[in-house]
Amino acid sequence: MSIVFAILIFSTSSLFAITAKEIIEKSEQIVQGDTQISLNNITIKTRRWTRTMKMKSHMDRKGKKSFAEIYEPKKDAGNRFLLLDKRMWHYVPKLQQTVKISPSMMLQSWMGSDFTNDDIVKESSIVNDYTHKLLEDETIDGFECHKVELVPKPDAAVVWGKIMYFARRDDLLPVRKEYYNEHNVLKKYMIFSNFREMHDRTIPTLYKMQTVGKKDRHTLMEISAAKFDVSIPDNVFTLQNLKRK
Amino acid sequence: MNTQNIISKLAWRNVWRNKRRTLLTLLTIMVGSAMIIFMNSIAKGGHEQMIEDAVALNTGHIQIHEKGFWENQTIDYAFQPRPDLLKYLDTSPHVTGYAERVISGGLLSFGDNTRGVLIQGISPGREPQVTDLCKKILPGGRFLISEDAAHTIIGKTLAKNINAKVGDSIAVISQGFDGSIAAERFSIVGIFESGSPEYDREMMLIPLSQADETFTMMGYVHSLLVRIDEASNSDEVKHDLIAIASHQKVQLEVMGWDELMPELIQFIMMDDVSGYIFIFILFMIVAFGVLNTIQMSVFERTREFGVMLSIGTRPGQISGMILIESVFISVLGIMMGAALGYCISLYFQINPIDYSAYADEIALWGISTTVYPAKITSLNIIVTSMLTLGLALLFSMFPARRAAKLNPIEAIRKL
Repeated sequence: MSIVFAILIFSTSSLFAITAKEIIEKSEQIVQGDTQISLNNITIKTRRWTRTMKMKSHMDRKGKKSFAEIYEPKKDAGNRFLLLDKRMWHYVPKLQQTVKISPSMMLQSWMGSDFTNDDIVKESSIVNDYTHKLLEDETIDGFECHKVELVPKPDAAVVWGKIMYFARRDDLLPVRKEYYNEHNVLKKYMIFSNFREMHDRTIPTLYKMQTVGKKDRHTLMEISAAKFDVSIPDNVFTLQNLKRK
Repeated sequence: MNTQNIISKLAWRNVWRNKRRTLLTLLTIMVGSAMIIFMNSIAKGGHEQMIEDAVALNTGHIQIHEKGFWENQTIDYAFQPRPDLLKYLDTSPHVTGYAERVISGGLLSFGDNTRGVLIQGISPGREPQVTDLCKKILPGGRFLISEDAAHTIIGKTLAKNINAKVGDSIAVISQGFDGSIAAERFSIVGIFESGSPEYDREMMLIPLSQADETFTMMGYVHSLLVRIDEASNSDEVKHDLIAIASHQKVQLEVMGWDELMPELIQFIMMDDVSGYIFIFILFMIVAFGVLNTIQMSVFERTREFGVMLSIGTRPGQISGMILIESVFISVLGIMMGAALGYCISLYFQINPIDYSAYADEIALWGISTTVYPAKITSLNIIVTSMLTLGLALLFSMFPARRAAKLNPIEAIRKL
């Protein structure tokens, strides 16, 4: 009798078990929201110097649009970045000129950091461009996490051979993200920490991107303020806004 | 008369008993060794020219960077050359010039075109001492001058790709030494055709002073280029520089052209190997030619040797005589060969081989040299001559020994 119960319980619990794709979907949903307006401090530490830039960014995840502007330090203030679907532009105030960043440049380092242009505007979708597989749970930084293996779909235009995504079991917030190349070698990883409440939810507020093999450098992104699911006017995501004086 | 003298005299007379055969053999040795000498000199001259051309194009014979620059190729590997380094470069007799450079990658924007470029900040005054790019400006433009500021010269292919010409203004965006955004507008004052497809497609040159400002270099540079009077001296200078650099706090790397352009030295090595194979074949032909002659003459004189042996000539004297015959022929041959080889090489030293018509095919190998001079070295002539002589003697030992071992009675009966 108890065996039957046990079998029933196990089978029903599998009905409620979360799928790998759902973990990723929900995780992204929480961290980015449908729209997001945030103030970020990006600190780049290299061999020679450490530099912090302050940026304000608007993101419309569903519409695949994002707009970011650096407002500190003065030297770099006024540099703006616009992404519409797969096209990206950078406005340079010193030249009063806009540079279109071609898709081939999306994977180049953004402003000398460990993030790529692609990372900054969160262009590629890890929900849609990858297949997801749930692996054994792991404990990362003291949190018990789901471990999801993401492998790109054959026709997806992504550079990574594999991504490992670690999301907390209780709230599905990401703790760690590992990026592997097509030869299964770990190239860089991102650590999410400083879980705090921002606006209407708890999110990791400190992102650290570390390139493997480059011990003397890393990049930090700290979210100092964020608002989620606030409606953003369409004219924010336009070239006119990019080039405004 | 002492025996040695008799043997030598006999040998000399024997050599000229069959004039035609001896002359043909001399011809074989002469042409063979001359060809080998010529091949060596054209290879050496050609390779040196290739090195010179490659070095003069953009690299210089030696470059000094902060350690790690070459491997990482990022803007933050820069240094400030110290006085003791500069003093050595100023005073060394082998150094014909040196220049500093700021190097960075960046994005070039002109109209709708955006291209990745390699930006080199050069010193307009010093650079012509180190590279020849200043001579490769297309008509309608000019090289950079010290008064220039936000001016640039770009490669021919790059200009074509972005549809720009002299007088146009291009925008460049990159990252500064301090991490800030580096952005500047430059006016094109000249377009160059370097001969290297890579440089023509990717390179733009700006004044060093402007690069210092645009990239916030604060006096740091990425590379110190050194030009040497002759490629063969560059190793010596390199060792001196490494010694000086080791006293500096900042770790520097001193790289020779072979490390800067490994594909060039690999090509030269490959070319050398195929040359060695060919030269080996030539040596074999000459040696077998001598062997053939000696063998024939020994065979013809079997009876004669038999008689000589039977009247008391020692076998050692027979083989000695044959070897001396070989020595006479070979020495005459290599002397004539050295003279001929020298003359041919001299001709091509003054009138280098011109492959200009094949410039495109040569460019496929990444080489821009189309004019190949010969270079004569005494080492080449001496070694070739000695090797020829040595091989001829070696091969001659076989028939010589066989002659010595003849049984006199059988020998007389033979023919």
